[in-house]
Amino acid sequence: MTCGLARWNPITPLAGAIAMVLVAFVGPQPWTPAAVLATALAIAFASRIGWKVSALTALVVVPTFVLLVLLDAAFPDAAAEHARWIPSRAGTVDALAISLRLGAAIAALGVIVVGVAPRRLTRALAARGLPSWAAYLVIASLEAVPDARRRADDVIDAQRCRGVAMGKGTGVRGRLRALPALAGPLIVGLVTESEERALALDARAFEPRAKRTALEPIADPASERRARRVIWLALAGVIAWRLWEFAHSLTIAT
Amino acid sequence: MSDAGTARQLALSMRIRVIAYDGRVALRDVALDIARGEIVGVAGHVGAGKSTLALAAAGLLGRSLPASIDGTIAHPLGGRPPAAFVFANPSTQLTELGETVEEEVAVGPENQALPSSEIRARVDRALALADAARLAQRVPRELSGGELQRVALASALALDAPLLVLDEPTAQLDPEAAADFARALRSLRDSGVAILIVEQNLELLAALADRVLLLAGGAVLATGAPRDVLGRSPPLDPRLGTLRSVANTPTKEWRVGKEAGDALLRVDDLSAGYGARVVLEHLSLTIGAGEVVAWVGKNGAGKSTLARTIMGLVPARAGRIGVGHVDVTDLPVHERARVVGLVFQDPRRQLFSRTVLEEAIFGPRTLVVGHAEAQAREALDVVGLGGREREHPGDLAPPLQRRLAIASALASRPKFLMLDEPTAGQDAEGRSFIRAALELQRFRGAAAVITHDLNFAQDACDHNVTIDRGHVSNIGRNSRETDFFDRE
Repeated sequence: MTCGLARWNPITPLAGAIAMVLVAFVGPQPWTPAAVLATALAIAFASRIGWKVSALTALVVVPTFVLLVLLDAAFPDAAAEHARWIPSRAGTVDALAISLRLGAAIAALGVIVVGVAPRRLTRALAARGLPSWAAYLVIASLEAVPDARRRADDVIDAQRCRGVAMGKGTGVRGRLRALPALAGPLIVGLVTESEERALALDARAFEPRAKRTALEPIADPASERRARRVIWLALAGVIAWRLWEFAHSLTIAT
Repeated sequence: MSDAGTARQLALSMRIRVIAYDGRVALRDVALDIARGEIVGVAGHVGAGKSTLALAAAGLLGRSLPASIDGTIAHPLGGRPPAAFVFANPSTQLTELGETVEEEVAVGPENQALPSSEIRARVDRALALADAARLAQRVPRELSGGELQRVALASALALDAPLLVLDEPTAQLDPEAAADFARALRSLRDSGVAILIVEQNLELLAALADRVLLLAGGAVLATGAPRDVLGRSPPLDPRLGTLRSVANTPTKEWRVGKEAGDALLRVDDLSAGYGARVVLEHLSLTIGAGEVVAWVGKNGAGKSTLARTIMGLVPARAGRIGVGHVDVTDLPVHERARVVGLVFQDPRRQLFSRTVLEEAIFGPRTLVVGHAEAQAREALDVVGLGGREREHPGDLAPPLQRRLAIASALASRPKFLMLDEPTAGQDAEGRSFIRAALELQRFRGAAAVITHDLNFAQDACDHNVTIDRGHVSNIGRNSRETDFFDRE
């Protein structure tokens, strides 16, 4: 199953996501972040990555909201009318606003993280002038966790073959005993692998500051370039409107 | 020593007085010229300085790999890069910049900032030359060792450099693939590419190289025509052995279905795979007590998966596995390790101790089997590491690390031992140590060797079991490597 975003130039959804995050933070609270969150989730479901993005968002937003409400209840204002451990209405609204802003940002950027292949994104960014070293850094960072997991699986397999017990039924003592056998090759592997990777890049004519081309350049049709202009104009409009409102409120106050 | 070929266009001209790592001399007094359309082979024992020579020739030393070089290395034909390099361990070749094989192969031409149409042409040509076109859309890290080696070769070829340097490029290729590979190198030579190839496979060097350089202890021992240098009896360097040919290879009685004791390993109707991919399908085989058997077959045929399934690392979807009188099918891996041992292709995944001895003791001590230290010392002696007990495993050359991993498995005294490509990178001396280890295992139970090294299989094993697309397709004698290379 391919993600619906695959037919776009990755720069376009990235521009959209950045604009949505900024709008969620500068727009009126809490309705703007709520609307951005709903829009981001709708895009995620339309792109067939809805459940993953929702799970990622919930993982951050729900604990944040609960924590903020608990903090408000645990440490009420001196002038507060409600009892300790009872959340106030204002505190709950504030917690909701903060959580919604965070949720909107996570969902909008989550669409990019889950739905856009990192190598495709870096290729598109490289075509717009991103240096080779920066593109490599992005890919290496995104691949670091799955790489380490693969290496760990290999090490675990090798040590299980030597009688190291792993998994269910292994007590704390057993796990501690197994730790050096697992951590040793993993750490050494990380060091040697970074040396090998540098050698591999060197052997393939990689120059950190040189321009790279692509086997399959990512198309950037006029319609998408227009869409990005509209996104940036809309964002500028929202920011101008909010600045005008802010300036207006200052005038009234004085 | 100065080489001929100056009349022609030189792709490499190196004059090395000393190359050292942290003050430790790895190579000295080497002069080497390679002209366009010439293949030069490099042979030598483990630690002779072959890989250092190859890395220096490719211009990689002193950049990513810190080393002090006293001398000059020139690439008169230029190029960016002036040389393409194929590493001994094909996973080292991967940059991870590409998601598919095709994208990984394209990394070099992309770095050369070529137009996309030229990148496409280079990638298609390189994949075809390396016989890897069918792998184009696969994910590199999901490939078998042999498949990865083809991708590594294609990645280097795509650079279209005037000099191609290869460090043991056929170690994980099946014999037919190695013969195809030799043909591809010949056609590259004919198109004007200069080639430097480091190999332990003397038959391949003899069939391929225009001249060879024999290294010993970091210096040149001899140079000349391959059969003159490698075919001497007794050999110039006993650690390297001598060239075999069909004529001088003694005919051996293959023991198929005779002399073997009771069945020690029974695999009945075994099926296994990864996700939706079925690798083994209703495979059955028996290995008798006292037998040493080679599992051979093409890259990706399912040999390593069979070993991993017997070990319990890959769950059996159907069928039973028995070792001796014990049905191990449902035993967890760490309990199976009492009767079955497996040594992987890459020993670095398991080495962690501070000394060679501690590493060898770890298995028997964890499994609480016998006298751990005595067993470990005995196993180290057998694989030729006696006297190096106090050394750090990380300081050993990769072929010695591989032998340490074998000693470590041997010390646990499993009834059935499986070795995955144990001879990769080993010189004749190393191979004889591995053969001794297998002879010891023969008395303790039985063993299987996954190998593409058919000469070793003929020397060390009773018979070959050919695995083809997840089935046992043949039991008996297979062609020797010389048969493949002599077809040219």
